[in-house]
Amino acid sequence: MELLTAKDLSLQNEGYFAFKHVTFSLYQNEIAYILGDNGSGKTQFLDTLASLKSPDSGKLEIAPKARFGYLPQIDSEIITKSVKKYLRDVQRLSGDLAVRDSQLKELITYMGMTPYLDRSVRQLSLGLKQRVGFLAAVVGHPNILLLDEPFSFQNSEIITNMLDIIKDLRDNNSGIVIASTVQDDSVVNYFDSNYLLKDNKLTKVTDRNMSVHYMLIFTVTSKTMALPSDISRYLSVNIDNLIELKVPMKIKDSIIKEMLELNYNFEGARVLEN
Amino acid sequence: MKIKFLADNFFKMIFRDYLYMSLLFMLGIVEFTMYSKLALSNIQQVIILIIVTFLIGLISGLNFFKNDQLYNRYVKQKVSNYWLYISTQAIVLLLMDLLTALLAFAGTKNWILIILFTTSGFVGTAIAMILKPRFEKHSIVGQIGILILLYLSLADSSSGLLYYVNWILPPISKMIVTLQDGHSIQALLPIAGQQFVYGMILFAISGVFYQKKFEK
Repeated sequence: MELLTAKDLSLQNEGYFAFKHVTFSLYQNEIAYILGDNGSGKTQFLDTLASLKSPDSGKLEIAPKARFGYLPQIDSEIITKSVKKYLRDVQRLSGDLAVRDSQLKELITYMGMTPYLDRSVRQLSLGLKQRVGFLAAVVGHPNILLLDEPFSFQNSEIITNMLDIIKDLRDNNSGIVIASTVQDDSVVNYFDSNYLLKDNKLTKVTDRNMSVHYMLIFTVTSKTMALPSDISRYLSVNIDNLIELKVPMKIKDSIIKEMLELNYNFEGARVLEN
Repeated sequence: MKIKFLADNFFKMIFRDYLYMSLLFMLGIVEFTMYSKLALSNIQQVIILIIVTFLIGLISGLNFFKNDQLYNRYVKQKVSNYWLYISTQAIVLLLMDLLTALLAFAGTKNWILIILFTTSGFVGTAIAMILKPRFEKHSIVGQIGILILLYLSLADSSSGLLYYVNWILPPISKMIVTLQDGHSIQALLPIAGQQFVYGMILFAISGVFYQKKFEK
């Protein structure tokens, strides 16, 4: 079932397009991932989906009685309540449809927030505030969950726990949209559909293996052999003893293996946004 | 629950940056100076207090909507009920005007003045609400709007020049002129009623007008 449909949506801010002619659909039991560079318009797009901004043109259709949960990138609200009181209040805002008290307690523990329950939200660090914001977005048991950079400031354990909660919501008929600047190998398997927001346009990525590129970083040793032509075509940087190769995701592993056989030291890899 | 959640947020916002508290303190100083140092008649004292409560309502209202724009961007989404959000704002701001009126009333002896001061403050607050764009995209338009409405409220709402459009002007100077004409305080109650209705109409107009536009 379609939860949300954006048709030919455009939004301008002071003469600049945040996004243009965007078409997007979110279904039940779907996690949609939107990848985009800083300033690509992800936050504006999520704000528009949450009806916090009116598009200049196009149409946004939302399933009747859909309940939204939204984790903004930066929430400027000054919350002087304790974590416990705040989450309880947000839970009650959603009435009977929200998670039960016992579930809320479990969620708080799962997100590692138990030691901070009596602390004022205002006093927490950015990372902890982000976790509170995430919990506030999910305690209402939303049909549509919008998450803007949910994994920033979080360690890998918390990210995994967040993804488990997101997956659980997905399995219970919710639709989830995640917008992020980075794409991590460890999380991509959770997503059902991938989008790229670039040059004000949203494109659905059908073959992630070819569209996502990695920058592989190697250093030269005394036993290193010259790069064969099939690898050198991916060469991006060759300065002193540093070699960087820009390769499609699909052949990443085979290139690393081949480079190791040529006695290059593998120093690491990073995902490129496009 | 939503009303409690919102009211808690709005009350904290009114008192958080101490501007409203400072204005109340200044009101106390004005009253003290007026009663002890200036040889003003009762009518003149009431006129000054009407103007001061109106200005406190306007300034506190502008500050409230500025902070609302800055800090409560995503609270609207959490509550997901625009009209409840706007109505709770109106009630909380009316209570703020009542508190101002109670302090202004402290040195007088006529209970009716509480109503007159509250509705005068409410007109100021309603003007602040309709000029919310001051803190959004249209800062210059909002600023000019404030100056024009302030002028019309205090200087020209009883002018013969604007006789035929008098009914759409903020009824503040109308109350002052009526008082100066020698009418009793009780005779001002219909004008207080007019001020309240005027404030409610401004809230309703701005509520409808900004329903689609307020977020941009």
